[in-house]
Amino acid sequence: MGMKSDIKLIDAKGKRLDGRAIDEMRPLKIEAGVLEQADGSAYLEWGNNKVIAAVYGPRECLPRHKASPYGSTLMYRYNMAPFSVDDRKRPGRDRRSTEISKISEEALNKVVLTERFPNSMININVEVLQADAGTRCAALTAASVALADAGIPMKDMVASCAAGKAGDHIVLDLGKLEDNFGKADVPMAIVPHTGEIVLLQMDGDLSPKEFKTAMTLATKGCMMAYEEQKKALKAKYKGGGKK
Amino acid sequence: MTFIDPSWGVKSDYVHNLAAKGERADGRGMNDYRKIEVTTDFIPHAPGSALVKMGDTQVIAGISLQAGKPYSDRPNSGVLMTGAELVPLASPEFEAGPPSPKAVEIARVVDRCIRESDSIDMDKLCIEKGEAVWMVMVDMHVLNYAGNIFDAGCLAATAALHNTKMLKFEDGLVIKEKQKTKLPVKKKPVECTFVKVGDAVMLDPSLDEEHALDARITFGMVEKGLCAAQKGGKGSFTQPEIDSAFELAMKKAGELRKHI
Amino acid sequence: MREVVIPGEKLSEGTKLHAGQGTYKADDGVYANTYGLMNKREDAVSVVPLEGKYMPREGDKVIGVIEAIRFEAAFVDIRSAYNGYLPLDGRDRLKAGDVVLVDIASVNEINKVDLERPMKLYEGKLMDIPSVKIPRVVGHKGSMLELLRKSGVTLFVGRNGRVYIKGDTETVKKTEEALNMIVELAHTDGLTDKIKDFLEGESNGNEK
Repeated sequence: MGMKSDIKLIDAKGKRLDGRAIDEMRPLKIEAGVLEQADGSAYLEWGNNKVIAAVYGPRECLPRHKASPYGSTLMYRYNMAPFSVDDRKRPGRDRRSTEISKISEEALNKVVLTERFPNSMININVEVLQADAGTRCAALTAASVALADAGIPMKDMVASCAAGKAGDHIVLDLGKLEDNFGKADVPMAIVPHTGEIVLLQMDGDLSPKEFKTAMTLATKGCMMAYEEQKKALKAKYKGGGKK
Repeated sequence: MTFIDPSWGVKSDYVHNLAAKGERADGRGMNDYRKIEVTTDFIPHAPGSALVKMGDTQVIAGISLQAGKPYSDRPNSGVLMTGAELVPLASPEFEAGPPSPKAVEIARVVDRCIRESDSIDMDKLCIEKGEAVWMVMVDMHVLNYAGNIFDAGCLAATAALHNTKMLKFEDGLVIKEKQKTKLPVKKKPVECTFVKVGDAVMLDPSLDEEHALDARITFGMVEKGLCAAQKGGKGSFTQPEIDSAFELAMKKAGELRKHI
Repeated sequence: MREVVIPGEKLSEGTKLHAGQGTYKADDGVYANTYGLMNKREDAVSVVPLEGKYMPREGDKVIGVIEAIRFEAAFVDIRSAYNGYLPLDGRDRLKAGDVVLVDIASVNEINKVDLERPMKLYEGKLMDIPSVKIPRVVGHKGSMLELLRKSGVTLFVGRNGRVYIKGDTETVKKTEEALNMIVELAHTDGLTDKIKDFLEGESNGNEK
């Protein structure tokens, strides 16, 4: 965010570097049930992001002191593969992935009916295989499909998308250059049928009015992501059999 | 083993019942901060420091200056690093060991707020292009945890940065001697945190309110707009709730800045 | 074919319908809380899950694997969120790694699962299938199970989705294929006939 350059992110006709309109999302494709070992899984491609999510559980809670008598403990792990970015990422947890994992876990807690499975845990593991801006939204969108695919009871899905500021415009779903050279990023996640906001972050520089516009646009993006989640889960059982 | 106060349940019910009536346990209004006290230069040996008391919450921010190599993509820009430590001294629920997700979140949100506000003039921190720049380390140390470390920590960090004096750099070495010149800091980024308890949204949560919260939203405010935001907690906000909290944050940020 | 629904999907407008398994009522309608097949009747709507972990229920017969023996009791993995607890008396010569067909004696409010009457299973084929498909494997009044056993194979079906098959190599293979077919086609109509055709036909399962 905020790197200085002469790159023009929006041309005179209002088109972005990759030819998208201001409110256009990068192509999003999701497939449910892709891993044999996991209880539920999903593979997602969003622009050049490639993300895979696996859910295990509910199962015996380890370490045991994390168990809660009030419900299942969600454990979300966002991880970037070393080869997912241009400069090799040192393997393992860092502060960024710790933070993303924490807020994504909290977002999913709103919809998962954890109280059905006291003292157990549900592991949600997301690996970013190729990163191209917007990985936390991609990861959360995939994780939600994997949870449903694991048959875990949920009030609703969680769908996620970001908006941001490129040049002087508020745009949907920042691409990599827009992320590096843009002025602000607003990742969001909502519960589709109520519109409740379960994840909201912002960094950069926005006026109050721009912030509101960005939230409205991100909400639209979340609904587009939701449509793809729905398609993916319905497609798995289409035509009489599991693939 | 995570410490759990056995009376949380009861305390949390109490907070919920009061919130439903528009009241708070300490008698504050929904949109009031606790009493705020800022003491700068609390650690005279450090280039910059500040102690912030926000009600019973106490956070010290200390600034260290080191010389180091700049990042290759910004060869003449200084480097900012922000950390937060929730030491066991500050609360029975904090444990020794590597930073918890909670500490990491606090550090990163304060870091974003300061960084994105463009508060520090990073280009003035270049010693020799591509070779040496000043590295500004902000460390928030919580002394007593009684809720809302985000706002207290950010206020302490900003106050400490404004109070930081430069060190001398000679023959490739930093000399630990405070100079008259100040760290080039232009703006006063602050954070305003709200929590949602039931259907009520309140500013500056106390410890009990933080334990009872459904959701939390922090706005990082700079003089003319927003520079960071972070939602936390297992619950959610509606769009109108975010809108009205944000309006209020713009007002409250001005009040906080008066303490610096 | 019944419609596949996802969590949060609205199943009916208004709140007149009874919200059955896999659904919940909100102010403006009945919604799904499970990924599954919608079952809508005049007065009620429910969702039959397509996936999901086994939830232990008193009286179920399950197939477990003994994980550890401690203090005169065995801790048994039953492919669930919770392990089973099987008190042992001196006569049960069980050890870790053994496979048992066992009854669920009780499940208490904190999901402690007590097991009883273990029967050790020897040298058969153990197969894991989704527990939500087990009712189809058993069939109406055990009809599917009866069909599968016609070949003379020994077949135990745990409610937890573990299946034990014993017999000659050819029969075990055929039974396994039939079970896979049931899993894949569980949500389609005319399942018993399809399996019957498969088992009685000359084909070896390569045709579709």
